Amino acid sequence: MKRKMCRFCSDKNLKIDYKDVDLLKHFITERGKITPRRISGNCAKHQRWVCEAIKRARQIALLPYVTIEVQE
Amino acid sequence: MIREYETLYIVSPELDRGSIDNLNNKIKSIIQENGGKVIRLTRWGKRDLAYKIKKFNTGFYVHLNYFGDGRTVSELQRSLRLNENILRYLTLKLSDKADMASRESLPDTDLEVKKEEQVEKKEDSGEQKEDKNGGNE
Repeated sequence: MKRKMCRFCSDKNLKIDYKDVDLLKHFITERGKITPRRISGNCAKHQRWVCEAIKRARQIALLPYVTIEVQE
Repeated sequence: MIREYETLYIVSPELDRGSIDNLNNKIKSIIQENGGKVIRLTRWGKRDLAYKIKKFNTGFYVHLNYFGDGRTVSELQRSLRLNENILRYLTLKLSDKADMASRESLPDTDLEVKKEEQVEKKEDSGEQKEDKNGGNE
């Protein structure tokens, strides 16, 4: 999962949206935590947007707050 | 001041399709009665919840895209909160500058659910399939 470039800066067409669960899943760990910027490789701005989108998705039960058993 | 909003809400999985449609129409009429205009209602179908809400593991997701002012939103949120069949809702402002007249109301659509997320559908009806991007933005 390590990238040098921010995915959203290199691909301008990629929109960050809380409804896009498949995209946001790349930025959470198997336990449901948000991956830190040093792992995800996002720039500050996009990390902030991703973070916000994940939190919205959690509110509406599209993403988990915690995952007790590790999903295979 | 008219703005563009979206609301995503989860309906209890215990309702059948007919009563969900009734509920959706009721919610749409609340928006219209309070000076709003519905652009599009998208049914996401029955999906797994990421965690249990009121002991339910699944729910019907409905996405609404509409114009309205503060009164529209507060009235909509109030009725969603009071309705026991609504498990959860989320409202977001999409844009401040909204030109209500320039946007047509679009027919209700079904979002195509991906195979791994698809929960067994009890009643099958002639659904129109819609590309994933259809209801978004």
